[in-house]
Amino acid sequence: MSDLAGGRDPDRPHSVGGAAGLSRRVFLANVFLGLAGLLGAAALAQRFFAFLSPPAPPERVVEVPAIALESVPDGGGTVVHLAGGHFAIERRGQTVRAFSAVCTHLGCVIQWQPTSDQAWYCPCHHGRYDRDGRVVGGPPPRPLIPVEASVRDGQVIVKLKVRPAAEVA
Amino acid sequence: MSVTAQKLVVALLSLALVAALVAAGSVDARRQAEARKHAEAMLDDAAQPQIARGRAVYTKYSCNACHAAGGTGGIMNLNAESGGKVNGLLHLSESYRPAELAEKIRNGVPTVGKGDPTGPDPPLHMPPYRDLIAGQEMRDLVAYLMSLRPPPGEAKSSAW
Amino acid sequence: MSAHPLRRWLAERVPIPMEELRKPLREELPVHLRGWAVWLGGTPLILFGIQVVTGILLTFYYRPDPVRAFESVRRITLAMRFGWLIRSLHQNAGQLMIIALFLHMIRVFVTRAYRRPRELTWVFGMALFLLTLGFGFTGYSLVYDSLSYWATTVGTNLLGDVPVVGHQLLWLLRGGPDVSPNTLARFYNFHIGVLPTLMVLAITAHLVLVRLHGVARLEGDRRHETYDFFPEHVLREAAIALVLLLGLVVYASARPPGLGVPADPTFTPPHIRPEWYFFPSYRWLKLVPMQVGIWTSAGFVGCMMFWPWVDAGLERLAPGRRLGTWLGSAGFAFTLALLVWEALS
Repeated sequence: MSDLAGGRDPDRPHSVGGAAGLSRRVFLANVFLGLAGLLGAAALAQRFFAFLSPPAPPERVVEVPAIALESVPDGGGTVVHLAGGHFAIERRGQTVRAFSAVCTHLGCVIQWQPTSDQAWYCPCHHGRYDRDGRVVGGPPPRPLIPVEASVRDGQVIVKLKVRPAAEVA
Repeated sequence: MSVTAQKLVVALLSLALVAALVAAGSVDARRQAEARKHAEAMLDDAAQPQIARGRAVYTKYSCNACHAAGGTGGIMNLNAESGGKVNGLLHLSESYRPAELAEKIRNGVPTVGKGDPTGPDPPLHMPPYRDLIAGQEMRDLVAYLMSLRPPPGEAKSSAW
Repeated sequence: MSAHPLRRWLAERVPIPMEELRKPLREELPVHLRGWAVWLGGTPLILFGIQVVTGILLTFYYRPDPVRAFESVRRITLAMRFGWLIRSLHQNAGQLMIIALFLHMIRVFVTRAYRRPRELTWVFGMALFLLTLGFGFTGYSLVYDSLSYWATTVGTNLLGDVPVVGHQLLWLLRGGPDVSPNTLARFYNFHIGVLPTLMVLAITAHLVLVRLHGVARLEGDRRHETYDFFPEHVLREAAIALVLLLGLVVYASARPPGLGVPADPTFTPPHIRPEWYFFPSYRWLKLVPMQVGIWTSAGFVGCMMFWPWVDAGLERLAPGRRLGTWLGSAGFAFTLALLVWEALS
């Protein structure tokens, strides 16, 4: 601030010092400024983007009754919607099997198709799975994801993940 | 100050900002760990059968009518010492042992303390529950009440 | 111009008159701007930039609904990564913005830079100040804790006492007769929609006028030297921006923002007060009868809004006596005294 009157600015060509040394100094200052500025902007941007990705809430796996066994037709299947997700449940006598009812293609919810021999059907792109969850037609790339299930006191019990209520809101 | 010197100053300030943001990162890590712990604790409590039963007892006997759902504190009670309304129940575990709390519920609070000693008597008081809640229900209710905690970070209301 | 092929290609497709655009960057500023007062004008703009960025970030999680507003603020503050930092930046940059604007106003007032032909620059500047107060009032309400809820109730009730239009104004602001879910949605809209739009328009008008007139030279300053807007002035502004950010980040880390008690419409807590920048009018309205307070406040703001002409009128009345400076200083001192009085009581 001392050179308010101007004229003795060392960056101006008319000041003392070789022009080559001067331009090198100016160049280095510009590079330093550019790098430091970039680093500062990147650090700030990183913090801001971190804010935009919410931390994953903690989870607990719990067993919940999904549906009464008698509500699932013997030899058939049904889809149950619980707070922890959609479940495709298929019954043969007293044994049940469960899958995540989310199609592995693009995430639509599958349905039971009583008339066809191909058990599970996805209405979005005509994906088809058999009783074992294997892909038998359409675009799904992977079989259905199996979920642990059992029968207790006439209820179908599935294992699902729960999250704190506050995080669901 | 020459332009080159000014550039250096700006560059150094930018680096200082980076340092401050790195420090803020460790502050954030600590806060995240706390938030995580709280969320885990809430999840564990919600999964405990006794506390779930106690919550049912709480609504069965209409405790929530005065103390609000979740014990977050209550309806108007003119000139009550607890801020002119029925007290919340989020700090019980700090000042009561389970047996004391059960006794308090059995006896009720026949006279509520006044906020302003010269003011009127608060219209609401807590009736005794001696004949209503006992045994397993009382144990479940106390377990539920002792599990209540204020949400983290919130300013403390009057401790009760 | 260098004839790099890419640049030539781009210049042909997007014919921006670069030379024309560079002209404002080559503006030469009077050397007095190198002094301490330089940061006062640019600082509010820098802070406004911080408000825009952090404000947009906050809207990702904030819910303008009475049932969920407080909870969403809690999530921002406690659960989201760096939510405490962003909320603190937004809160404190807002406070600094009001301080910076106030100091800038004092600087322009003392140097009488508002005189003909720059009256309109002052008028737009005053509009910016009032808009910023509007941001403060609506923003404070959004937190929806006990104190902010009741400050909103009291603040909007005040408007109801404005003669003639008060009732309509109150209804418009609250979206109904009482503070209701409509009110919060409305305040949110004002805060992130209406006010920012008006703000950007007023900033543009203010800056265009500053550029067209050039920065006023100081009275009695005989120096004719100038310095360049680019890079020297820009470097200074960059340094100021970094110092402000640095201070805000360090403050946030040392004292992360807390949470109050959730708003409860059935219970008015003791000691409710508006934010500190409303202390002067708050104290004044407590001192005098309601109608007197409203009329004098309106007169005061009107006088400030059209100060360049008021000052010119006083100058014609008593040439050379600087009546305006005395009167204005008394007004500033009185405002400041009311603020301090309220703060200490």
